[in-house]
Amino acid sequence: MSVPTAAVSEAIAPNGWSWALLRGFREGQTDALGEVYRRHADEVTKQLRYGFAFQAAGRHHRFVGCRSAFELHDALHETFRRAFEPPARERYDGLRPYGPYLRAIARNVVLRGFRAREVQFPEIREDGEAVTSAIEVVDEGSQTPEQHVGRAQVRAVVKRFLDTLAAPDRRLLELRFVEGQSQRDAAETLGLGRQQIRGREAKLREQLLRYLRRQGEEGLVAVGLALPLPLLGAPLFELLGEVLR
Amino acid sequence: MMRSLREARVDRWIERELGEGLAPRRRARLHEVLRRDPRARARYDRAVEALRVLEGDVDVAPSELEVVGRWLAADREATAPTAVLDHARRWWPALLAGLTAALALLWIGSLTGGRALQPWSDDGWQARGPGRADGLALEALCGSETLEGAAPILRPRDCGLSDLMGLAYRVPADREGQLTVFGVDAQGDAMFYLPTPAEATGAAVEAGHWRALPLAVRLSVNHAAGPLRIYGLVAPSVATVDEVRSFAEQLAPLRSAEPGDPPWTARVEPRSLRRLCPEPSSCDAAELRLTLRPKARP
Repeated sequence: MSVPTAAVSEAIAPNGWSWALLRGFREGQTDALGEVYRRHADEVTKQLRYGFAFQAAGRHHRFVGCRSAFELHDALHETFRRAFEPPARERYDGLRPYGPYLRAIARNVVLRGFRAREVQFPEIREDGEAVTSAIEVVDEGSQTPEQHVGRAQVRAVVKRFLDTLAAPDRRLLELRFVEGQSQRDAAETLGLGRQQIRGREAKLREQLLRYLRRQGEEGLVAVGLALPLPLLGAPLFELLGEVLR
Repeated sequence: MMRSLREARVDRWIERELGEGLAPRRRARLHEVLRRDPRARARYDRAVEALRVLEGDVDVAPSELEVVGRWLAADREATAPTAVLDHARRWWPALLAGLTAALALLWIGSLTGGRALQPWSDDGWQARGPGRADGLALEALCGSETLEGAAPILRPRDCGLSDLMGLAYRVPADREGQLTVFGVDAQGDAMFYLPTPAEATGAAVEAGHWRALPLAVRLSVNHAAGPLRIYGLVAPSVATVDEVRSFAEQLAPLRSAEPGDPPWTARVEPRSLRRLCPEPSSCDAAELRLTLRPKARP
């Protein structure tokens, strides 16, 4: 019993990765960076999407999360781009879990916008001195009411789209996204090649998007996205909503 | 309200970016538009929301993470060439030199009638159709990935998964058009050569003698050991990625062509060729078959 345990502990780095992954990551190997992205993209995306609270100079603030998917993708990209730069990879010691390290970078991506606003509009105390900010952060994690409303609207359109599909396409979507099978497993179940599964999925996605465009769901924009739209044109930092103490 | 042509173009870019992905230059233009145009961004957001519902009604769709993954991969390619790209760049001039040398041999051979100089024979089994010995002809030449130097030795149709493959074509003197080339592997999967999901361009054909295509295929990527069929089409325009996928799906279950068989364009649904080849005379097709050897064990 003790032999396998020892073997496992030797194969795993302190941060939970394999040593090969950690080494590849430090060397900037493409496969290793891709693997690290796949492992951690989801948690960083959720943090950027649902926001977090933070304290600066004694005042409480809340980043309400990226309302726009494009801004979310942009912030996610910027987070990993910074995390994968050689100095950031070298700074990571491989001892602590990588998730919190990444989330700190994501918060910095957001807070850079906040700090830029502070430089432009500094808060001035009664004695005329600018208030300096020490930032404390608390993560949050749920959808806003308008995100719920927008999702319900889109759900109706997607349901209509699914009704137009042939049975084999619906079966593929069911295997992949309801039963959660990998592309490889779905390929085996359906007796197809993995590339064919990938190709059919991409085709279905493009079909859905064309359907969405043809439907011309202006109502969706009006109901689901009207609330964030005025904010979408503004830089990310304008999404920072200040809450009362 | 009628959508402007510009909006329609941006919508097509959005659909492709969230599907197969755009080429880096076009992606940069799309991002520029999305950053400054709230309406375009709202349409992008709505498309992503639909994908989240499609992919299991999730908070974050796997496909949107793939989108950002592609942006990161493009960053790495642009700023710090990976070993693979670096290798391909080093290798490409050598491949081109080798192809040119092989093609020159063939051309001289055909001028002098000396068959001994001909590095391969393409008569009969290109499946261009009975009585069409002068249509499109394709050839695949492979060389070891590890070979370095000015002109590596290229072997016609002798390819393994450790090789890089170059392609050459020949069309009759009066033929003009765009060349589409794709493959179908042993599993029936489509292999994109010209165009690819990332680059929707073909190659304008130059008539006369054999020409090398500006293409180096790393067979260790996405290819499986076993039979590989390569199909070529010269048409007034290049095929779309969807058309290539449709051709590959139709051809995969069919047996390989034998000498005297009709061209592959006569073996797929006529409607799938309606856009590319409105008249049978507007297209030329060719097919070749090779067997990819597995990687040699070290």
